[in-house]
Amino acid sequence: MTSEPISGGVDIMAGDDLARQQPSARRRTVRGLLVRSLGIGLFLAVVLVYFALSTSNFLTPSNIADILSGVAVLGIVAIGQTGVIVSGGFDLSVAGVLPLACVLFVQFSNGGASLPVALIETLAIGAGVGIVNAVLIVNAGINPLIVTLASMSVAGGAAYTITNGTTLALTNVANGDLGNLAVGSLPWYLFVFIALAVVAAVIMRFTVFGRIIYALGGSREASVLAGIRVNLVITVVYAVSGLLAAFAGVVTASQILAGSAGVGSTTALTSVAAVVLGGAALSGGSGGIIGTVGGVLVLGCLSNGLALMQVQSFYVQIITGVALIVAVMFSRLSQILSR
Amino acid sequence: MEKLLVADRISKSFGPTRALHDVNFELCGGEVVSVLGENGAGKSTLIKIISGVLAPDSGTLVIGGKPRRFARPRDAIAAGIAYIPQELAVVGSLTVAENLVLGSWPSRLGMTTPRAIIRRASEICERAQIDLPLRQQASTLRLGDLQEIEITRALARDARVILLDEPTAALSEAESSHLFSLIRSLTARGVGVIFVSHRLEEVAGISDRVCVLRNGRTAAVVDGGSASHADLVRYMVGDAPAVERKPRPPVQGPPVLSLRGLSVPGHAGVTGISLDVRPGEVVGVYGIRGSGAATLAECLGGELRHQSGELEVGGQTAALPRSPRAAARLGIAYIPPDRKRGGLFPNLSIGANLGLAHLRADSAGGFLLAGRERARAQAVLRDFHVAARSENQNAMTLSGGNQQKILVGGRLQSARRLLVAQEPTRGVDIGARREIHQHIRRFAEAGSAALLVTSDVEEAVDISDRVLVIRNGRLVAELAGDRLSQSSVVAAAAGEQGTGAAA
Repeated sequence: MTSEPISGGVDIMAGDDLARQQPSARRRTVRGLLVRSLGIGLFLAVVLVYFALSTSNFLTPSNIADILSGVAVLGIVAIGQTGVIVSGGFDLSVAGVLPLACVLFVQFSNGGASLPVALIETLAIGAGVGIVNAVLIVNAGINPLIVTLASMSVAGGAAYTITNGTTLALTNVANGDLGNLAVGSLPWYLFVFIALAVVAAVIMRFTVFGRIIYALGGSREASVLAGIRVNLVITVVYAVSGLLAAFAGVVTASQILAGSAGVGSTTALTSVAAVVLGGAALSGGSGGIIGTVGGVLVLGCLSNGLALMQVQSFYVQIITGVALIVAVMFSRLSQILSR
Repeated sequence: MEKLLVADRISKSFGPTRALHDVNFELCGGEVVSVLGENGAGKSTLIKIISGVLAPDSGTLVIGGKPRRFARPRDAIAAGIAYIPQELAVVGSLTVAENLVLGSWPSRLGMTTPRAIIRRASEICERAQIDLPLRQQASTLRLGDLQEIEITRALARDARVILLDEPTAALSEAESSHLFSLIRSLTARGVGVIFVSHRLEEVAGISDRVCVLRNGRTAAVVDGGSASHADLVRYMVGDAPAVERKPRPPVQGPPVLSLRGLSVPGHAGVTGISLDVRPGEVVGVYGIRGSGAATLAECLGGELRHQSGELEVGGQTAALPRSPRAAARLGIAYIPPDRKRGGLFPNLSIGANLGLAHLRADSAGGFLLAGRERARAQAVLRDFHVAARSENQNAMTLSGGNQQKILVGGRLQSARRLLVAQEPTRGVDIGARREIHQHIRRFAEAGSAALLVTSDVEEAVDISDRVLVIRNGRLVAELAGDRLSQSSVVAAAAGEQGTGAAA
């Protein structure tokens, strides 16, 4: 393609305009990006300041460590959920996969499997549930909400069937050591969560695969026309979500040193809430890992801070719901301002 | 006869574009008046003004002897004007009876019963003197029957003027003739019908008068019976020999793409289409809506599954592409007709939109190379003179013309052998249109080829070396050189006998 000017004065003016506006344009884009991710950051700051002022022990190192360790499980699930929602999907099945993985990890370990074997087997089953979700969504054309609602029920039910409604103690002592692995007061899984978040953020932002996920969420039709293997991408996204939910289940097992089908039942909607708090639209195509981590931290701080203020736990639910609406309105507002 | 509707010196502008200029229009009771004109002639603007969707800048509408101003479609409906759009407002999941009573459900204490609905619906049918299968689900009906539902509804509201916007575009021949007998029964009752169509033989057959628009002005008002097709075409496109065409040497060499016996079954399908596209040429494909021209483009773009025929690309036999990926592998870049539905990604920046077709080239080890993507985007912004602040700007914040430049520029970058462009300048301003045309020509002159599928006859004639005309799914004419003009293309597409031998 050549670059010689094609037609008269107006076009050349446009070109000049472009050159003149370049620096301010860049500044404006950077500001837009900042304002957008600031939405949740600002909200987080408000929450932090409020609790710091109204309780004496909120901003202490040990409480911060508590908050961070407390959000890791939700955070790991929310990372997978971010990929699914940005691609234009929805994954409720995490709330079934998490307890199933918790139970299976204990079952495999008690059956004599070594830590790596039990881990890999559990993760493979989690990814398998994700793949089944994707096949039903892609090939049978069923709505993701319905598919993953069903698989949440099936996986959660399978966990209860295995445990027969009881709690299985983790008797494989070697695998149970996982529960004690920590750096100071920071447990091992916190570091895994941070590492996963960094890797996921890099994938979403700087890789071809990440770009494709955003494109798919923006317009499925245009993605197909652009030659993107849409079905493959959807499969990978759900498989990763299932795998991360299973990993969250293993973490839970190592926390309670037992397998219980009763864990993680709220993660489906809480993880969606965290992703949306982070600025994602449920219609897909927007959002990101940094925002999601912010959303997870807001939820963690709210439940921790309110507990410190000795607010009863059912009020916490109400306040979390209100905060979700406020935060989403906040992020819409900042998006409008950044235009 | 009583004058139902008189439009007197109606003008309407959209920004700098003058869509209608002192247009006059008259309709009497019991009459069918057709509105004829090329795309952009002002047909749809006139219809929107009559049906209350748009308000005219100047001029008056006189309905039943009284001057009226419509602020919204409801006002037009209240004045007895019923607009039957191409996209029918029939709810497929409901029965015919339920559709008829939509908006005026029979109810007693907020309750309604199927029996009450049927009773109300049959009253409506009786008043309209039209029989409909009341208990059938609307989605099981054919398009012609759905139109009948809309017309029945209009008659039940005592509409005196019925506006049919290209009602036959998607109808079979039998359905069309049924519609025409319905139209005759309407006029026998004193209803006035405004009929918009591209099909000359229909227009001539049904109309008492034909109002021909050209470039927003009334080009002629003629008696339906007396005007010949040739006259109508001349009024539509004007006397001027279109454009001065630079004589281009006939293109030689083996074809880039050669298609034999392409058939696609179904609605707006095609039958037995064969064509060759040679390096260096722009081949226009023209056809009215529903003719199959769009289907041909979709097929080459890899959007269809159930086609048959033989394809050679670059001298080698190839399978007809059954996915956009397969089309891209053949070196075909496809510009879909609607940039909002399949063209651009609304959530991505200009740079990301342009980069998507080049993810492999613009990445290393799966990581995007931001520099390459930026360079690529800036090349398009520069070459097409896109008025954008930067390549990081969201693509949807651009004007329609600039969005289209992004779409076309991106596809030109990824076309290796052939560009298949469908309506590449629909709804863009004249500057963007000229620029897109020049880039398509230049792309072809650089040794590739372009197949331009368009319903814009001016565009087809202006930038193509030759134009293929498709009617009812068949290739009916190939026009080039002296025989290529807007009138010859329109005449062939509208079905006038004796223009251009079938290819």
